[in-house]
Amino acid sequence: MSALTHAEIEDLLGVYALNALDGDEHELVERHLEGCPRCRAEVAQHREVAATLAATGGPAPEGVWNRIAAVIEGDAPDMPLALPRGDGAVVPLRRSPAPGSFSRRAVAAMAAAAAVVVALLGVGLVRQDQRLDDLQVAMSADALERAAVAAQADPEALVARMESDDGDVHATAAVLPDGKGYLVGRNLPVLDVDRTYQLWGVTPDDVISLGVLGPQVDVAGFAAHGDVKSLVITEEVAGGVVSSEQPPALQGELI
Amino acid sequence: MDSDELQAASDATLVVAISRYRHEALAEAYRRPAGAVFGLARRLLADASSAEEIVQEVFLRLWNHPEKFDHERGTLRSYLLAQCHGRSVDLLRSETSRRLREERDVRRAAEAGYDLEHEVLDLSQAERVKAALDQLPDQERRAISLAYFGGHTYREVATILDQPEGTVKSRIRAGLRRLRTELADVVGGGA
Repeated sequence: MSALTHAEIEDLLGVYALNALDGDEHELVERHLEGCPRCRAEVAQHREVAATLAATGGPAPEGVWNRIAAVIEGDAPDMPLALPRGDGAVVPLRRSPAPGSFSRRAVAAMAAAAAVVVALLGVGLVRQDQRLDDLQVAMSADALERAAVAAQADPEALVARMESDDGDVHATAAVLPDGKGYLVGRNLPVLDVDRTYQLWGVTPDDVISLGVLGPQVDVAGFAAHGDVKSLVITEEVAGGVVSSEQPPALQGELI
Repeated sequence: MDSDELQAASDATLVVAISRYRHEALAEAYRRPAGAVFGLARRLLADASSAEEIVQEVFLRLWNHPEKFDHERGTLRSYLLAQCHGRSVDLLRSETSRRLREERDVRRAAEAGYDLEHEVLDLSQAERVKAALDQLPDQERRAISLAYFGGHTYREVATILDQPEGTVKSRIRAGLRRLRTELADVVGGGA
């Protein structure tokens, strides 16, 4: 089917919202909606109206919830993250930015942080913390994925959009007010087996190893206690190091 | 977050809690619109057993893919009902359920009255919705009813009503817009 004009698409929005389109037209509208906020808003309005028409005073049969509950019973009931000793809190500085936003001020701050990090790593003000390995054993990959999605969407989370110097490699980390952190770094190149990525937290006084990530980073959990202001990832020898002398591979300020 | 907080939680807060495997958050998300979801599926499929399966599928999908819900694109209630409607319609239109649909239509043909007003059962909203429906031109009301509660495509609606397809498209859109205006104090917050 050939492309439709915007006016022709608009004429289909009502029937689309009621799932009354055939397959081809349905797909055409779906593709249009991806890039048209105005039409998305109209569809949302039509669906709210339809939801009102669907109102019913009767409850769903009791057995349905029991079956749902039985299915989800085996899923992780809660995040099995053991917080570190101490207050374990990251003080929220301000609300996380909208997804996709990345302020120039943050870029400047990252550059400044880079100099600080290199200096701090060099003088060895670091301490090793292998907590990440334990966390990853405790959490399934699926649970980590879900938790990372939730953390990045949480308005109370601090989010670091980490980049390499050339901007080619990205990772995103989110730290919740209780110190639980999640790193998503699918864009990181896979290292040789004798190398590993290592995550560091930078505080005003210290650089803390937050975990050894392995040669391939997908989604990882960590605990960022204390006054961690920014995050840095370095490449190290397998097993990680206590004190890094490597330049940051990626870095980003928690904002 | 205790049960009182969950009951007062916004859609976005509830879905974030579901992302963290909070069973009680899914229970709250279920408590709110499950009756409407079941009612819509049963209306479409004319079969309580199939409707129960749809309800289970819709809420397990929310549990497994909470990120699919975008609170900026409507309420959780309308999202779940749209999921329910889409899944029910898929089932209705599938080859394997063609016989189910034919049987359903036979049952409906035997029923006295088949109009939108009788689909709206929530006593707290029925009068408002009925009044809004009364304001609709008959052709718009019938087209919306056949598409939404009948699960028909607009082309099928055009055949049933013996009207041009373009006319049916326009009438459904115009009718939904008119209903939104009339039901402004009842309709949930959309985008």
